[in-house]
Formats: sequence, structure tokens, C-alpha cells
Amino acid sequence: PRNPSPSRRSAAAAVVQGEACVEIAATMMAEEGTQQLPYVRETVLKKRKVNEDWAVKNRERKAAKRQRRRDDGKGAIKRPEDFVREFRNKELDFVRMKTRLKVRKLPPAETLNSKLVFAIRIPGTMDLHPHMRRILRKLRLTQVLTGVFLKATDATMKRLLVVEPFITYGFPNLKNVKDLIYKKGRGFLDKEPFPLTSNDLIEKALGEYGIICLEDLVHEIASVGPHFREASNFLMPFKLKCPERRLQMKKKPFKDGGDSGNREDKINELIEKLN
Amino acid sequence: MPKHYRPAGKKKEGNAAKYITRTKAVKYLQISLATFRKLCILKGVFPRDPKKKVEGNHKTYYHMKDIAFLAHDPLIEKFREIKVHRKKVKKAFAKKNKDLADRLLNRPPTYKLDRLILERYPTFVDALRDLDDCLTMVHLFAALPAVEGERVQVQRIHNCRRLSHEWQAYISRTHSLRKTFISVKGIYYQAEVQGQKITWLTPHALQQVLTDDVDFNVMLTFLEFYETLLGFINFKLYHSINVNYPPVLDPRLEALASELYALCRYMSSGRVPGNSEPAGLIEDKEGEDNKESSKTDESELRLAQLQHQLPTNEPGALMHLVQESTAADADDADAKECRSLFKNLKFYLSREVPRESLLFIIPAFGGTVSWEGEGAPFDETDEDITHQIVDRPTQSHVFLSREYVQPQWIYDCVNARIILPTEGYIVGRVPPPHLSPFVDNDAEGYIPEYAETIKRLQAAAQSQVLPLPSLGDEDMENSLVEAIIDRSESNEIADKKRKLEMLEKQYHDELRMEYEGKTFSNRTADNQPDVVDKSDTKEADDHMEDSHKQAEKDAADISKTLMSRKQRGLLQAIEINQERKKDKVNLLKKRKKNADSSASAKGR
Repeated sequence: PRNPSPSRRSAAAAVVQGEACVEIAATMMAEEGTQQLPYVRETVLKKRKVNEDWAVKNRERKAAKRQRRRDDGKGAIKRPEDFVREFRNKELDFVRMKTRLKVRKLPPAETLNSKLVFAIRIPGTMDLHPHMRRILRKLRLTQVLTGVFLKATDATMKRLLVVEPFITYGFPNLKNVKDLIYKKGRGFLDKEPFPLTSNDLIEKALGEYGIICLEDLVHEIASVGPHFREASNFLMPFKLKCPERRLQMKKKPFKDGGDSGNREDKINELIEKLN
Repeated sequence: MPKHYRPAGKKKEGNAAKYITRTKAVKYLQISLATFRKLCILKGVFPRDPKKKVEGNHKTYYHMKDIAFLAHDPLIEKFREIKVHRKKVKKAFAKKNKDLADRLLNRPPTYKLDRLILERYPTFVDALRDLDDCLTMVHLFAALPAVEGERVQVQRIHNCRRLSHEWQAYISRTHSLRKTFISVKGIYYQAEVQGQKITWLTPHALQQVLTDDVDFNVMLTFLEFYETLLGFINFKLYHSINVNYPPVLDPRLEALASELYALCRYMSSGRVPGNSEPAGLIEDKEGEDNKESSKTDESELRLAQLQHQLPTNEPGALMHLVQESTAADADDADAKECRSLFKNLKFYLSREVPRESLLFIIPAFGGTVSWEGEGAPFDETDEDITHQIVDRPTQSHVFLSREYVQPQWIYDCVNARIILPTEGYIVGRVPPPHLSPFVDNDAEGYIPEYAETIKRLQAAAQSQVLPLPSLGDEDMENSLVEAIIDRSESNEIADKKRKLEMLEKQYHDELRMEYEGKTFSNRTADNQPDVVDKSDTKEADDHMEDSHKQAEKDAADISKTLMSRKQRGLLQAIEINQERKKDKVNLLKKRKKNADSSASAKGR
């Protein structure tokens, strides 16, 4: 509805319209004796048409806005200094990564607080080293402010350490897991994403693993069950909302006052801001 | 132009002075159209429809007093401040002055809608009457995601979720829920709060997809107003049952996605007054107690406050409260029936059933409920569970001491106000049709089969109450006596009706014989005259029928002639409506017949 109004006025308008319909119908039947013709008031028809036109224009306007934003990036002139700086940043990131892997010793995955990890890609630079880019694609964190659920294993934690400046991760609680899946979850079936508006699609995709409804999916993700891998791959990365005041998103680790890296339980506060 | 300004040679009177078009109103107020729309929504101003449209039929007209009403509101100045502030921020960013931009963003101008709530709803009952749209909107936005493109903010969605849970917790606590209905759009609820029936719609607990056909600016303005309204109403309702507002939830239960249960626990624990009550509430109570006396001394006030604080230390304070609440609750028989429907029943919810909805409904009717997961009051292996709500084709483990029913059973029991038999709702079976409690079957003229069954079950449940005279409850005794009187009266009426029918039949038979003028002896004597007599009888019957029809038609025509034209039109409209209703009922019956025939064909 374009102009939602209290139902009392709508009811009153409907009553008036109904009376008009009845009167005209009575007159027609009295005069001609034929069957009653459908009657809708002219202003109602006009309003309906205006609403439809507005919807069409709104859709076109949004599409044009998206196209304009996409075209802004093209045709920009890059100077040689930009290329040099980009290359040096890549090399520096790579060297830092190797140093980080050498110096930092990860605790075993079994000693962590939870087996479920939620990783969010934070806004960062475009100058990614190919190695990091490959790992981010493997984790499905290719877009800024997207998140995925991961199982806390040694291999996963090592990968997260490799790409630490570009992500933040932690251990979500059941409330946030449920909120994310219910509100932002998108399934992936037949090479196409779709919103989780029906349990039939979930049963069709994951029924062989005993997951037949949305709540089963939440339970499997939250408890890191035996079919976590299939359930997690079924869910597309969650698109999170940019907050009103843009986050600073510094590249320093969270414990050092920045925004990247392991937040442990503090990830819940961040998720509540973004979801 | 308003009426008070009259340049020379230009006078305005009548509709030209009373009404103003939208464009001129926007110019007069010197705000943008979007701000004008927002202000109209918040202040409750809507377009009028004058009989004489001075500037054409295609324009929107507002009453001049409404526009003056908007012009004198402080909000209009506040909106101008917000606009100026936004321009300043934009300018600071354009000049790359980040420090100034940050400082401006840290101190945005804000406004409150509290005054508008008091302005539009002077009494609490007025606010309750207008709560249907408010609750539906808040529950809708509680289920929506915060999408990037739209201007739906995350904080607003969390606020709507909190408000909706608080409202549901109050309804559940006071057992005010009366009707439920599951439809394609969502789940309808109807509650009765302080004598007002409130109906709202909650979306299903699945993902909601936002379409681009909806103008969210208008909806967000309505939502802004409704959030404030529901906050006020929750405040007053919570304090009416001696519970602090806003509630402080258990963070552990909150983290486990159990806000509604945490709220119910908070309301149970926060029931005791005393230290938890604010001082203002005590003063309000004092004011109510001393309405008769116009003066209140300070010493008396202090003494009364001390007296109020005293009972918290006595052991009988809780009993007093319980008696008070019992006396207050005894007034409403409907509430009593609702609070004890699921008493002594213990429910366990499986994972796949709509948990939030059932956590709201089952405690509202006196039941105990638990679910799977941490933070639940009891586990699945508890032997005292009477019903387990399931919706899955296979079960991992089946306990023999409980019944496994589908979720629809709960909703149908709530609408029928009795515990329905569970055979039809067992897992794997197609449940009976889910009937709407908002439809009056007698007025519609068509009663579905299952509604008839429910009526019979209700009558049986009522009759079970009759052979229990030993209960000492006065209400029960009165209802028993009334039931007995009604039953005896109906029996007498039935007997009288039967006698009258027999007498009428005899009279009709004798009249017919007298009219024919024949006796049995004459009939046996002649055979050929019988044929002639039969034909004569037939003709006579036809004449009688024709005369009857003519008499009826004459009577109707006479009554119609006596009516005025308006009354005649109204009568015709009523007849058309009745005809339409009959057609609808016939269509339903035809569908039912087709369904039955197809079912029997499948049965073969």
C-alpha cells in the first residue's frame, strides 16, 4: 500500500462506496431488468493507476541509480604512481602475512569457546595479494560487509589468520544465528539464490540430511551438527547492512584497538549493529 | 491564502476561504512536500472532500483550520532545523572538513512525539481503540530485515521487536487473548484489554521479501508514531499489574533467543510491589485513595507512605495481593474461562512448530510449555508432559504417556474454548478444516460441518458441568441454576409446540374434509363419480393456491405502496444483499457436494 491509513477510515470509505454501488445497481435493475454491471468509482481507478505508475517509475529509478553507480568506476584515469603504490602495498601485505604466520601461534581449535565461527568481511583496500584473494574467495567473502558461518577447525583458523586484516570474526550466540538466518538467509539451489520464504525449498535441498524446515537449519548451524558443511554451503553469504555512522574499520587487530581479527564474543554486538 | 488577509478588491468566502489545495498549503507552511506528508501523518491531518471544489475536481483539498493546526506545531520548526543540519553536514563533507562533519553528526537535532500521543489520545481507552493498526505495523517491522537500499534502520527493527514481545508478554500474563486464526498472510490474534477488543496480524516466522512497489517513507513515518504510542500503552499496562517498565531481561535467556520467555519470567518475579515501585506510583495511589478529601497534609501523606511500605515485611502481604487479584479477576467470566482452558496441561514444542506463536498462546490460556534447546524450563524426557506438538512425518522417540498432535489443535481449542479430541490432529493425518472465529455462521446462513461438530462438543462439555452441585462457587451455582431453568423452559416450550402442531393438523384435516363435502360412505358407494370428484378437487386446489399467491402478492404490494421512495430503495437493497448471500451459500454447498462426490469416487 502506498498510503496506509487507519482501517476505520478505510472501512468508512468502503461503506460509502458500497452504498453508492447498491444505489446504482438498484436503479439499473429497476430500469432495465438486466444483470448488474461491476461499478468502481472513477477516483479509485485513477488512484490505482497512479500507484501502478509510481511503482514502475520507482523500479526504473532504482535500476538507473544502480547503473550509474556501476558506471562511476569506469573510465577513471590511473596515474603511474597509483600502479606503483598498488604494487608496493601488495608486496607489503604479503610480507606481513608471512611474518604473521611465522610469529603468531594459534591455539588448538578444541580449546576455543565455541565450534561455530561467523566471519565478516570489513571494508578494506582493493590491493589484495592473489594469495589472499584466493583464500577470501574460498571462504566466500568476496564482497564488503558479507558474512559466512564457519566451523572452527585448525585449517579454518589458519585461513582466517592469513586474511586477518580484511575480516573480523567471532563466536555468535543462538539469538544472532537465528536472526541472521531468518532475516538475511538466502538459499542456493539449482545454481540460483532464493529467499527462504518456504520450507519446501529447504526440504528439497537438504531433506536427505534430515533438515526439513528453517528451524532445523538454525539448529544445525548453531550446534555445528554432522551436516554442518552441507547446511553452510546451502546458505549464501549474508549481506549485512551498513550502519548509519560508518564504522572506522581500522586494520589493527581488535584487541589492539582496531576492528579486524578475532572478537570472540564481542562479535554479537557487531552483528546486532549490522543486522 | 488564509481568510484574515484580504487585499483590496479580493475577498474570499465560502469554500474558497475554508479549503486550500495541497500545493498552496505546502507554500503557506514553507516546507517541502515530503515534510508536509510526514507532518500530516504525525498530526492526524487528512484531505477533505468539499462539495464545491473551487479549483477543480482533480486537486486535493485540506481544511484551512487543519493547516493552521500544522502551522502552530513546534514540530515544523524542528523539521526545519533538521533540514538545516543536514545541509551543514553535507557542506562540511564537501569541503573535506571531516572534524566539523563528525562534530555535527555527533549532535543531531532530535524530537519526541510524546506530546502528539497525549494530544491525539486524551484518555487511555481512546488509545486502546486505535491500537489495531499500531500493533499490526509494529509486528510487521519486527519481522522485516534491515535491507541496505531502503531506509529501514537496524535500531528501529530491534525496537519493534522489543515492543511486540513486551505486548505479547502482557497479553499472555493477563490471559487476555480471545481468538486466533492462521491465514495465508499471517496469524491473526484478538485480545480484550480493559473492555476493548484489539485485533492484530503477525507475519509468519519465515523470511519476508521486500518489494520495490512499496513506498517505505510513508510506512516509516507511521511506524515512528506507532512505536511511541505502543511504548506509552505498554508503560501504562505494565504498571496496572504492578510490574516495572521497561523490563530488564535475563541476558542468558536473551542470548538463547528466548525473549518472550524471559519477559514472562521477569513479569512473574517482578510482581511484588514495594521497593521496586517508583515513588510517583505510590503518590498516584494516594491521590486515588483520598479523592474525597480536597486537602492532604504532608504528615498524612508521609504516614500513608509508611503504611504502604509496611506490609512488605509482613507474611500476609502476598496473601492480600493474591486475594486482591482473585477478586479483581472474578468479575470477568470470559477471562476466567480463558485462563483455565489449558490448566494442568504440559506442552512440549518440537523444533519445527511455530515456537514464538505457541509460546504466546499456551501460557495465555493457563498451560505450561517448553521447547528444545538451552534455557527451556523442562526437557523432552519429562514424564509429566501431556501433549507434544509435532509437525514432522517421523519421530525419533515416542513416549506413550503423551499425545502427539499438530499445531492446529492448539488454535482450534482456543477458538472453541474447549479441549477438542485429538484423533483428528494426530501426526500424519490431514487435520480438520481450520475455521475462522471472526465469522458468525448463523448470520452468514451457512454452517460448516466441523463447526456443527464443535458446537456439539461444546454442548457436551457444558452438560458435563451439570452433575457437579457440590462445588461451593457462587458463580458455578448461579450458572447451574440458570442452566436448569433454561433446560426446563425449553422442554416446556417444546411440548407446547408439539401440542399446537397436532391440533393444527387436525384442524386442517377437518377443514379439508368439510370443504370437499364428502364422507367415507359416499366414497365407497360410487366408483365413476370418484374420478370426476378427483378432477374437481385438483381444480379446487389449484384455485386455492392461486388465490393464496394473489393474496400474498397483494399484501406485499400494499405494504410497498405505503413506503416512501427512500424506504423502497432501502428495502430493495436489503433484498439484493440477501439474494447475494443466498447465492454465496449455494455456491459453498455446491462445492461441498462436488468435494463429497469426488471423495466417494476416489473411495471406489
